[in-house]
Amino acid sequence: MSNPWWYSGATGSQSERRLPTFDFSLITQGAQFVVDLARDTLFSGHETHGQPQDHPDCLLCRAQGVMTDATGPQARGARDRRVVDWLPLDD
Amino acid sequence: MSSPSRLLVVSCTPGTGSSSIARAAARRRGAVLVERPPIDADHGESSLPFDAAVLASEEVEVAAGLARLEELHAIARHLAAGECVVWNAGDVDGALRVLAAVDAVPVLVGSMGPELRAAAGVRVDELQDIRSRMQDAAPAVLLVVSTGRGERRRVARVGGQLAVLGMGLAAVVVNRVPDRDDPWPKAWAKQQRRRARAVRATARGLGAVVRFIRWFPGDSVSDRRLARRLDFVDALTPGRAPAAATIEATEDGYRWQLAWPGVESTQARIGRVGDDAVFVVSGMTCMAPLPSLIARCSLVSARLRDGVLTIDVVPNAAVWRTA
Repeated sequence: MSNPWWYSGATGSQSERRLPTFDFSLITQGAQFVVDLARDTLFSGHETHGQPQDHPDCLLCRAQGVMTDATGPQARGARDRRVVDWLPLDD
Repeated sequence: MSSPSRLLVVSCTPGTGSSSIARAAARRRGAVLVERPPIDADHGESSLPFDAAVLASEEVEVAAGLARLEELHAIARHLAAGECVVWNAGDVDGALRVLAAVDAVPVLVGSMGPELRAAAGVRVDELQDIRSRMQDAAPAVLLVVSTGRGERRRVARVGGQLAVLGMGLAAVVVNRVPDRDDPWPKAWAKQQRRRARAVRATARGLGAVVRFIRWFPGDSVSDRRLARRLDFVDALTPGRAPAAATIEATEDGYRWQLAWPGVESTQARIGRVGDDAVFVVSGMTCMAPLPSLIARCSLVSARLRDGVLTIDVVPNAAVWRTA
């Protein structure tokens, strides 16, 4: 006999019942929401600029690009914008 | 003698807190206190929902310090009205990011062509106005620290970062120092006082005024007492600025030297983007236009020893005038 539509298939045993797991992606989504909200709050006109490199006429996008390169060129090397030439620092 | 700063930047090491000191300093100076916007009553969170953790994430990158434009606008507005300002800048790493971003405004603006500048319109003027008003006010940085482990090193590090920005550390307040006469556990209190003295020695070495704030068992320090302990803010001037950069001729080209007292080579990165220099020191990114002579050269090598950054350059034949 097929199971009714409301039956989950669980045996009903307490030990086998699975506890709800915590989804860490919720944290990421929450952080992104905060960032988006901050952008909306602060940068009117800039808030719709998802990709800074697509908005070379926006000062804040340009600032963002320069600062991004300056703080971690290797991690973001594939992106556009001005690239920093790093000089090895001897001891 | 130089006149007192009209902008006092009160900042703190992580976990220390600067609010009570900033409030007391503002009261003493009769200054306007600028802080981050208050908690939004409707949403239960700040209307400027940035914090260090979020700012540190890769996704944010919102032009680092420029993300705190509202505070900068408020500072510029009050300074323009002729008022003194005490800025409760919070965590020192965030504060340094803001100061570095403000310092980098000419680079950001200079990198734009006339069309882009026109397109950005009023924002460019705003940023330049903020920068010039802050500089005209001769900002003095007051750092609030605790007697926690590693504070002496943090003070030295902040002194170095400020030097890279061409600024000095004006004052250090060591908060919550247990007094010998109070009923604290003796061995613990002795250790705290030892750390406080170590901070004082380092801060004085940087030319900063130093004050200890006594930690009263079971009670917070009264506003009146705090204001008394901060008497030095009445005439506080910007800290001891580093020596000016020098350029001298060498056999092959030129040697550019910058005073970076307290900065170690493991903390720093040196780079160039176009005609601008990029300095990263302990996570703080600064950008400044290269001196015109250096801009026409190729950077060959750099070393950082005994608080002096030395960069050797050779003329770039492509842009060097020979006639």
